[in-house]
Amino acid sequence: MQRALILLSLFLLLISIPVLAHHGTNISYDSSKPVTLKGVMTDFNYKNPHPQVFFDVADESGKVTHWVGEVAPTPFTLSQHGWGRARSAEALKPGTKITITLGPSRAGAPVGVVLKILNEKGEEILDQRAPE
Amino acid sequence: MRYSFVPSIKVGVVLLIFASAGLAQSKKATDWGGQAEGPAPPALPPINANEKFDPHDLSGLWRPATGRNLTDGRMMSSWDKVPPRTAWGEQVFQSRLTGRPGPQKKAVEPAKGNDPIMACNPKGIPRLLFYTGGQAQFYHVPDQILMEFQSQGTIRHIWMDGRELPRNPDGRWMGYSIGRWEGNTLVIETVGFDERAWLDQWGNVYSKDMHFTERWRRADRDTLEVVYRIDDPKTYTRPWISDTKVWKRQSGEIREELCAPMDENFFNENVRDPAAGIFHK
Repeated sequence: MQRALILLSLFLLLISIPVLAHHGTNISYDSSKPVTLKGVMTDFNYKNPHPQVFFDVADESGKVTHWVGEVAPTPFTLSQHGWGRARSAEALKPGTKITITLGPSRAGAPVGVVLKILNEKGEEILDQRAPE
Repeated sequence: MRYSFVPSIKVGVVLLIFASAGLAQSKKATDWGGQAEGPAPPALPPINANEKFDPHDLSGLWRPATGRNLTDGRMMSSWDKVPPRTAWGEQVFQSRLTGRPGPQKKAVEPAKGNDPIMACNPKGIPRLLFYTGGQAQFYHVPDQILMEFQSQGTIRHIWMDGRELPRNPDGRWMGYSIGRWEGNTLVIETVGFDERAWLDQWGNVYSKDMHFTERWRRADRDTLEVVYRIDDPKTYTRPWISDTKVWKRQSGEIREELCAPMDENFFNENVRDPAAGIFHK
């Protein structure tokens, strides 16, 4: 029961993040159908209104797709949770291999709102908590 | 007996030296590691229920708190308490295309919306009061209270020198504000608005003729309570009185949170618009 409650809380937290995002609402993204991709960072932009992660994803045939993820918390909120510019940029520098979960664009574009980023060690990068 | 004070004086001097060193330490430059701001500030000490505070002193760093509902802190009230709109108010409300879902209007992708802040236009007053993502520093200065909003780096002037509100002012993004104390309540009245600004992120409306009243009260050391009131017959058929909103004191310092058009444009072209199937390249 307790485990179910924890899982439910985590699920609610997950689906609530895009709703709280300032620009990227659940109108543009469908977080009820999250996708998880393995990619390689190409660029990271720690700027207002929301930071952006740029990464490449290769399919089985080797075809590469350029993806971009919108980080829902603002730089201010990220820095309050310990993810300042320098730490974030170091953790997501070009060439870094990531496993990223996104709420994908409803228009089918290679764009999504970031729900979770893991590095090769399985450590979570950035704090996806929205403002209080 | 004559020399019995000497050890105490020595201890006092040593303590003073340590205290000075501590003070000097706290003001010494620290390595920010390439961040735009310094390390996260320590949490405020817990409130002692008997702790004294001056109810007429609102100075400090504050932030509007949010609650259980999405509208808490971010809008005047829940939707069921929005007063009926006039024909003009309804027409303007429906013309505002927002990405924020609400019960009275269908939302659109932000790329297809027309929220003025998506192009770095001013939030203005009252919208700055409903931005829970940022902080505000309040200052008491001669004849005025100043509110410095982290969002868009905006300063608001509230005249406390007894002057009256101007008659028939031209519109401003921030309006024109006067304040007075009624007991321990700071009453602020504002007129002269720019009606192109949105009341909140849902695109709620006010006209240039709105009379906006705030009643602020310092409930304890770390808490401000405020009730907002909109009198705007051009937009609403009756006054709109908000729920009691709570602002909590913050540690640390105000941050830079400017809206730079070059950053906003980059975001819109690379993220917001492609997410809605609009491509620029």
